[in-house]
Amino acid sequence: MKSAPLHKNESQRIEALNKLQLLDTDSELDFDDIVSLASKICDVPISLISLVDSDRQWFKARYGLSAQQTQRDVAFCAHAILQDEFFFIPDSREDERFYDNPLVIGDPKVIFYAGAVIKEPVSQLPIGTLCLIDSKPRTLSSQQKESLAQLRNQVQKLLELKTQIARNKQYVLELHEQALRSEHILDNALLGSWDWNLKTNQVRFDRRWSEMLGLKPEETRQELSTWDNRVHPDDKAKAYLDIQNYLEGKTPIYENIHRARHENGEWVWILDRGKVYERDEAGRPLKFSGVHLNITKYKEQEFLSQEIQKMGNIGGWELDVKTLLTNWTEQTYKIHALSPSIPSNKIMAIQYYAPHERDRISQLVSDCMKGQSYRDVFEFIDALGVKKWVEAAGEPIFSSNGEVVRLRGTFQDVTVKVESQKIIEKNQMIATQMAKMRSLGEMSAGIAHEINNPLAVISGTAEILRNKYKESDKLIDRVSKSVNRIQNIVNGLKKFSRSEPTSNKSLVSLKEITEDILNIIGIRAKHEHVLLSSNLNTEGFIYCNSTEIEQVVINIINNAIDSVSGSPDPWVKIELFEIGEDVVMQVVDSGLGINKEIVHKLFDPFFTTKPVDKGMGLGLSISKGIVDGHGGSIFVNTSLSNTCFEIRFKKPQESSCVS
Amino acid sequence: MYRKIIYLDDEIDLLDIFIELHANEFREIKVFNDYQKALFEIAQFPPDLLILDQRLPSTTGTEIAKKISNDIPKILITGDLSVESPDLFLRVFSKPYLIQEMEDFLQGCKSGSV
Repeated sequence: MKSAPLHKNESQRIEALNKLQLLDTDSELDFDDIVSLASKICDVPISLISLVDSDRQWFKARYGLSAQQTQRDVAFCAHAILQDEFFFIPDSREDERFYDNPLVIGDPKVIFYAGAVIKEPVSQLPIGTLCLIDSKPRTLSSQQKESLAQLRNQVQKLLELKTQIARNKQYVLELHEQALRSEHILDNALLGSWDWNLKTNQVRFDRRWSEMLGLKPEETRQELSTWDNRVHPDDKAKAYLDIQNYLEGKTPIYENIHRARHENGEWVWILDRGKVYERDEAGRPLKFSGVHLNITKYKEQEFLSQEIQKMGNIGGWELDVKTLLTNWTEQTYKIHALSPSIPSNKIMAIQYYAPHERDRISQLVSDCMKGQSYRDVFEFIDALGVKKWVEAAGEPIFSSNGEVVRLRGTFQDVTVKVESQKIIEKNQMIATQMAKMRSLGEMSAGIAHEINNPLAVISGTAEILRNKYKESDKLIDRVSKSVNRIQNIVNGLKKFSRSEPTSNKSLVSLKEITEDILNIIGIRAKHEHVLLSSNLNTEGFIYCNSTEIEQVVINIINNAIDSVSGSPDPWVKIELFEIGEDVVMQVVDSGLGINKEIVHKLFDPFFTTKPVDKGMGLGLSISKGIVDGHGGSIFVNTSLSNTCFEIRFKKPQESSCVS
Repeated sequence: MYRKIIYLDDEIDLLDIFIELHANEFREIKVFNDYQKALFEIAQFPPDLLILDQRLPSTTGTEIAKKISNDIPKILITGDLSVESPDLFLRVFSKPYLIQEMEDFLQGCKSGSV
């Protein structure tokens, strides 16, 4: 026995068959009549409408056979559907494909077989046959063959009809669903309709139109004034203009967006559209109808999205003044580092503002409830503890009677903007500072000359007096010493002037540099009541750019004085000594060490603990740069109980010493 | 030991003090507060030592030193905080200098003298 191969478009064929929804359905009289007729016309005991499924043939209609289906591999019809039109087997016992087929050997003894191929109406793919079976060998007359073909055509027509009916049914169903959906949409989308009699100015408003504005349908007066009274004064002129333009034929449709007052006092944004549907003989409009669509939500969304487009990472928020219920956008949650799944009502928003900002933002929000908009930048700490800068803005939403009903606003992470602004400001401060230093340098050079000349006169004169009045020696000494002090101070100005930046390195005494500096800084320390002392145990020769090292020493000592100035019993002590190959300078002050959290940040550019106007936070980073450039190191020595900055330099090699 | 010294400074008091403190019978000191008169004197009677103040009306000690022969040793006295070209001078004194240091230098008995 040879089973039939699969059809070349088998999968599409099965798909087409399934689409007909015939398999495993009840028998139908129309089909039953056809097989009965076929059997009689062709004088055969069995006639079937067989549908060839993927692994079986199933009989939609059968005459003379009780079986409902057989396996596909034994089915004659599986062979038949590979033919174009007909498949005839006059004696299956003599056909190598069928002689040993169980349907031939056993019941129903298919000796004779004639099948006409049934095609699915749309795809024209073969799905089965109208077939005739006899248990003895025979042939069909040409008339019988013709009848078989005609009956097969009837089957196909029936199938076509059924498909059409099914399609119509589906269509009706869809229509019905669509109608239901439309009704639903109308309710949900708040679409109300109006019908305006232009002659009488009576307007029919439907139920939804009334509900949109919080009116009871039965109490809504069906006249133009109902609408007119509720249009926002700012929008009314434009609305009438749009109507007029349309009625005069200047626009193809009337369309206008306006606000209308809801019964609860809030404004509802309305998209209004309409068309004239009845005119008189002269073409003048008589009846004009249209719809109102509530677009308040879109309008609010538009407000937010416009802001978002403007700035990028902007969040939005809303607050109902009566219920104090809030509504946040996703971005607002994101800035807080909170999950949007947390209801915003459960969030104590104020706790994310830095403590010192809380009074300010509370005040602004409560002023906003009274009608005052705000926009300001605040220090903020998100849920993960990350410090941020946020720009928060709020505006009141008024009801028509002037009450604030809601607040809404934006919320933006402006950390990057603020931080870069700070850097810009600091750079400007540095530039200003440098300009000041330059002019100080120029000025001190001039002052030094003006002071030193009279000083020379004083000290010279004192020497003459010393020669003349031996007994006044001590008095003269006092003059000389004072002159000497003034001279030291004036020389010290040089260290601050930086008027001669040199990259030249030379062997200099750190002790000498420090003493010069102390002459000047001593004045400041005294002024601020800081006890300044030094213990310079070595000359501390180092090979360096003295101007730069002077800056470092001045900076460290100044910082120390800054940090203790104003505290009880402030003092600063400078130690200079040598350990092994190192020259060590320690600047110790009466402070109690430095907070561990900031120790590693100390030498970062722009880090400062001083008020913004007092320090720019560059001193230590520049100092570190200079010391590193000299192969030395600068760090906080934490082994002492007091605050101690330590600078270490390598002693110069013998060869670089000046003899 | 410098026998003939010329000192140029615009501060007349300092010139007077200098003579008072450093002049003696072995040393001739001529002082000027006008650099052109000083240059005229130097051209006619070159000194053993020329002492120049840095800041002068319309010129500087350094400028004058550049115009005068290297054969004449020069020292600079200045109230400024820095010196432009110290190589031109045998020594630089900062105002106010110690009288004793100057006297020692003039006698040529301290390090730094030739």
